[in-house]
Amino acid sequence: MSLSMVACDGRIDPLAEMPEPPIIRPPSETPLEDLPPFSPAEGGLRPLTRRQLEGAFRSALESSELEVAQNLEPDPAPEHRFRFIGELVTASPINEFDVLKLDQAALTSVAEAITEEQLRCTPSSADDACVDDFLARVLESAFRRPPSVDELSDYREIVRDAGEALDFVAGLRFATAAALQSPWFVYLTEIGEGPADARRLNSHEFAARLSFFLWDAPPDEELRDLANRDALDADSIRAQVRRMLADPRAGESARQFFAEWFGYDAIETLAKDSSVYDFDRALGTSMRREMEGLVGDLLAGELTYLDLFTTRRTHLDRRLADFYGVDVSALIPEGSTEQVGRFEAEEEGPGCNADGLDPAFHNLCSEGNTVGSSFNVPAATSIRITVRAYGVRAGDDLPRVALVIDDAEESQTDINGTEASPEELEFNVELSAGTHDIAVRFMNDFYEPPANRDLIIDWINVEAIDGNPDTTVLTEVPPERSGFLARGAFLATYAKAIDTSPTARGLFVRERILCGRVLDPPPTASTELPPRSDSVRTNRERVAAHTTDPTCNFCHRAMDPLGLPLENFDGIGAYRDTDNGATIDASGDLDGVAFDGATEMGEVLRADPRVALCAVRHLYRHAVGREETVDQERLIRAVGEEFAASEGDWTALIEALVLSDLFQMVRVPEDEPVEEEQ
Amino acid sequence: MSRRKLSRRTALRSLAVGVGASVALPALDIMVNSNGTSYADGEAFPLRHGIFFWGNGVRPDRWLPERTGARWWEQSREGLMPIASRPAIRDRVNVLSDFSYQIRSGTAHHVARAQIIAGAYEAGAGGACCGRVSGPSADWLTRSAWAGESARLDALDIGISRQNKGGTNFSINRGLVYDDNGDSRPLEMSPRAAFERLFGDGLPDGAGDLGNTEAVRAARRSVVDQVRGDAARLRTKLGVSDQRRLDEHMSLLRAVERNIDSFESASACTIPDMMPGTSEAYQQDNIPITRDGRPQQITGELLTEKNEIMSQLVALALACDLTRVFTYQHHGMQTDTMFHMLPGVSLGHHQSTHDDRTPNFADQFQDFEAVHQIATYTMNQFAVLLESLAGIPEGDGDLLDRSIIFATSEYADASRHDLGNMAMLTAGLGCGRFKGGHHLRGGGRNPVDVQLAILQGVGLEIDGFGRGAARSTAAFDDLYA
Repeated sequence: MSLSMVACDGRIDPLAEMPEPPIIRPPSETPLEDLPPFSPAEGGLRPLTRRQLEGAFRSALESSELEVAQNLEPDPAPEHRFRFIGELVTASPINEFDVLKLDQAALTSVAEAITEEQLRCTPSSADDACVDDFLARVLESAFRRPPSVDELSDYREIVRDAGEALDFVAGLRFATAAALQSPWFVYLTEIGEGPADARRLNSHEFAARLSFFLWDAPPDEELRDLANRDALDADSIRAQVRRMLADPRAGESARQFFAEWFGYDAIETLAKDSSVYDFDRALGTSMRREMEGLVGDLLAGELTYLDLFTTRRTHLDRRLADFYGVDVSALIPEGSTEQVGRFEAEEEGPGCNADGLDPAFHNLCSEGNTVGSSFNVPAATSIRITVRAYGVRAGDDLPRVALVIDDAEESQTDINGTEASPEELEFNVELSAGTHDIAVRFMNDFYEPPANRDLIIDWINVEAIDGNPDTTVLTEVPPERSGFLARGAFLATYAKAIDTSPTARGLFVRERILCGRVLDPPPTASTELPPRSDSVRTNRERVAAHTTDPTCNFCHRAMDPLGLPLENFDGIGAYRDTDNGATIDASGDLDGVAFDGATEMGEVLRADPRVALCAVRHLYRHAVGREETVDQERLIRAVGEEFAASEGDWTALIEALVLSDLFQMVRVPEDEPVEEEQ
Repeated sequence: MSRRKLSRRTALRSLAVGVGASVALPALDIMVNSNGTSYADGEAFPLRHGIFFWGNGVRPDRWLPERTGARWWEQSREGLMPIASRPAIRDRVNVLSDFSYQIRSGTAHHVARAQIIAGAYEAGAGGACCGRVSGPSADWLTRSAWAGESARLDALDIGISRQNKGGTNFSINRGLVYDDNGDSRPLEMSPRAAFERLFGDGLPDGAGDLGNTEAVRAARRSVVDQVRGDAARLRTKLGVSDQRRLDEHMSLLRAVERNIDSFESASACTIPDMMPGTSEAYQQDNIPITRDGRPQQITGELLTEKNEIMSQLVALALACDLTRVFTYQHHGMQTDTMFHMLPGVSLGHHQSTHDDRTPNFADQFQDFEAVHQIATYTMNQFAVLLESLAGIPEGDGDLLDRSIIFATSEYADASRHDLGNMAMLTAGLGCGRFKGGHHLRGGGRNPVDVQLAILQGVGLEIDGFGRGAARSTAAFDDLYA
């Protein structure tokens, strides 16, 4: 697909092929009677995502501890698209590495999970009843349906051959490793039954689609049992949806969906210029936590989707409360500290060994030398790490040290301390419960005899901060922060490193909240905002000066009036009254409806019927792994009406969607006849 | 030209650093004819083709030598000093300047990369990053033409930095090698896995104490057979496009089979004793993953160390004729690799060139000093790779004499997405077919003309390379000796 690119100066991009208007009108503006009759999205093969594969591994091997995703290739995700839309995931086909790594992951995980103790019996031949029991169990979980007689027999042969050559536990492992690479395992197979253009998913396919949608994992025993008895009617589906939404896996899956939809999934690693903004990873985490709290409220029915645009409800930790100017001292007690552990470096010994790998000795002599130990953190909490260190100076630079947690460098600092007065460095980090390797690394060796720079570490002390700043409380934000568009996670993500970005914020609202679509700026256009000057002081004035050209304005008028109302929040979301010394004008409009500031914009969005319908579209894409076409528009609107009638109740939306033929049917492309099984 | 001839002991010792006690042995003297010009049986030493890529360009004003002609290193600027200061390689490196595309600006990083790597344009869905391009990359042509001639792999594709563009999930590991369909092929970014592919037995560490016996290999083959059998049953239920997808997937199982069989395959070389655990960089192959499964900003990449190991592995693979084609991506296009080892560089690389969180090129910070530092560091990394090749003698020369390597980035000046005056180098004499030590000017011609010159120079009978506006049909023959 290639879209026409008309530059702001009117030149035509030579790569362009066909013209298209800058704002593609969503099909929601087509009158109902002009829409084609409903036809479902294509079915067929949908590759599982990494997370889904991990869920499937855990289920098939009945081991909730397995970590598989780390060892697979990352999911490809084109920018601005959903990673979890299967069709787009496969824009790049499965490649050699995927296949190799899956083989390795299967061999490794069966060795880990299938042990003699975990088998319910010890087979002495492939015809042992327990072999069939085991295979039936594994294959049903792996394939999301009971295996056929032929399949059981095939897999029994693997057990027989390998069992006779090695032993029968090894045989079961190899058979399971095959199941974990089978296309029945790797793909959701959504084939359905009935005519090619309207095939209904069978009960197993439906259960798998539902389970991977809500949990990123295959159906559990209860859902499988219903599918096996073909007992999934509307009432039992509703009951299953409610049961599954109450499971923690549904919360995790929903949090990821919203993080990706709303775009704050990289909040911790945003690039912000530290000379302009005081933003760090911890504040980003606090902002994420606030959004996750609101998503939890949505699933629990405490908030509706429409409430998200106007609510003052929040989940604040101390850090974000300070940032928002909310006093939570009465709700969160002051922190006290508790010793987690202490590491004393040994002074005796070679210290500067050639490889720099000995973690015990205190003098670090070469670049990359690391010293530290493992610490057991009892509960997820804020941790204060204190390091006493000093440097032996040489060369121009001070010795530089990095804090290394679980092999990842967290932060670096120069060492001013000397042997006469060592320095105590303090680092504050958050750690999950469990064992963590905490260490320091020497970053900048210098050696030109006789000058020799070294780093000496005396000890590392680790304390947990109790009543810690990460405890969140349910409270309210000030009125000017009503709605999620006035919260940090959104505002910081959609801004630049040194400034806000009214255009990026407005583009988000236009595309992700209203499901309009704005073209990328033409490649030949100058997209530079004019610099600030005496006559062009604020961002509003700069944007206005930039978009006087009618060609540019054509797109910008769809975005900027939805971003400028948020100018009271700077590039990390802190409240401000002025921009560059001038009072902020926060007026805006949504396609002719004028408003002033974030709070009024939230009210206007809440009242706009496009907002609920747009949520249906996003959830639909997530649920079936395809982007909707005009063929599905009738039912999308029908679901949208149910959603609107519930005033935005998220559970009601999920129920309406999974009960709809949108979710329960697939079609085979017309040019692709299905061959009947021989 | 007299070249210092390394003794075998010297070569082995230089390789042993960080690798281990025993190393693969390059062509033994007894295997070489009396003139040192070919193998003893008269077969010529193989010609090797390499691609070296780095992202986000250079600072051209601190990188290009001041004048053109021979002995460019005498006029080198700081950015190329890592090569200019190494007598063992600099006279086999050419610097190329004044090559520009017809359309000089306004193209995104991934599109620019497709142009220089494949002479092609991006044809991905909706212009999304890293999708399909309109044709194969140059290395794909040589690995296809020479398929099966080397002992183990048709090509070795290496990546050093795993970092993606900050805040997004651009799959940079899917974007240097393009096959005949224009689909990108993955790079090996794990030293351990690269080693395994070259010398390993294909059995993962965590697979228990199975041992690599014939019985285990037979069981593993039966696993692959069963996967194929399941696919055959499933296939009958699918539409045509899903059948194709499944067929493609099943054809890739050959890689698993090769892995199973590889322990048995004969190699002219001794297997290096590089066991897991020899160094931190060797171990550093897990991708840090955020909770939702995306790679995250990586802060502690041991790029220097990893580059040393990978350079040695490439040299060993070429010396043992395990492969004749390699690609080597130091860091991908548009990546935010953190060069934490450079003082004063605090941001990811792409962020240092320009922050594209918004479409505005002005009004965003740029740290040109950092960009220059990173480019200089990257040239040093490239020099380390070239030194590894130059360090392994082969007959009367060394591996660099028998190789031709094209090195480039998606832009010269990434801060403005400028497609003029691309940053390009060649290294190696390609068995005497190519010049070395010159700064050559292109007079504004198509950068892809250089790729075509290399492809024709190594013997491919093609009239042109690439598709669309960037296609080249006129080789840059100044490159030939």
